[in-house]
Amino acid sequence: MADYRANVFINVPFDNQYERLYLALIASIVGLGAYPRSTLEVPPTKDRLRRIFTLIRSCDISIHDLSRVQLSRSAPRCPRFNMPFEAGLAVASFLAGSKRSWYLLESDRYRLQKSLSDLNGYEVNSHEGTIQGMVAVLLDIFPYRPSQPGPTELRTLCRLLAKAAPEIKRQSNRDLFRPRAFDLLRETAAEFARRTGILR
Amino acid sequence: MTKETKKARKIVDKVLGKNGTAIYMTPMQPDTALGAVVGNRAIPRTTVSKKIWAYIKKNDLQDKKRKVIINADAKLKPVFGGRSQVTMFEMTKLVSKHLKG
Repeated sequence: MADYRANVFINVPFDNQYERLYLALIASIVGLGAYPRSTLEVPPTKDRLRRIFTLIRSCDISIHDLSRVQLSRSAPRCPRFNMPFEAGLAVASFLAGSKRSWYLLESDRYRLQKSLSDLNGYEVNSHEGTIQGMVAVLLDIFPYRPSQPGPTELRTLCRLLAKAAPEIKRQSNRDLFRPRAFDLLRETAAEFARRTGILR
Repeated sequence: MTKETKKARKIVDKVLGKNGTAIYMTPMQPDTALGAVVGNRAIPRTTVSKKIWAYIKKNDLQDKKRKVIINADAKLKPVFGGRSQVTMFEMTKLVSKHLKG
């Protein structure tokens, strides 16, 4: 189970169809008192892979959502391997003795058994492609503490961040999957959580 | 305060409006059924929810297999409109019926 005040590495698809879940993931992690981290913080330099690995190792928890690993629409049709690859880095780090926890997310619990059978036996958390499911999964990952917000508060936070998203998008070149937007999303979620009494 | 924090505050002000936080922070009075679980004092919605969750966890009422399901005990049953099981996401609507502003 995850610790609070933790740095949480989120390995998620940067595509528009995932936007709702991306916002819900950031809002919920912030609402639960932790701090989301992402490869968006890593500049596209020659040493990017090493930096990503260092970032994953520096985080207390890593969450890998593989629900959108699928064939691209445009030719040549192929899946993007970044997410499974980064999940592999986290698993390798764990198997090499790191005490960091890692969690796999999917929209269909059984899809990963087919696509990545090496991980059979490890728990897959299914969010079923919904915000409710995402909130439920995160509440399951983070251990209960008396001051913890419930699913209702987290959904409120998700809704508020979704309302703020168009403005954040406007300030970040119309793209939520940019480093600047990621920073703003974290800060905005934390501000909402403080103002609504969800985070104290 | 960082540049991002300042920007975030402006965005939050815009979304919530001048008295936006009041919706979440206004104390609400629980009725007798809900009062048996969260106490009879007027408290904000967020605190009501936290107290219900504390009660659920303390009494181990979350279903072991399907964690989104809450099994009602004698005190929660009247709050849930007589139902013995509800999902965690239905709770808000059911609990709201027992709160007065």
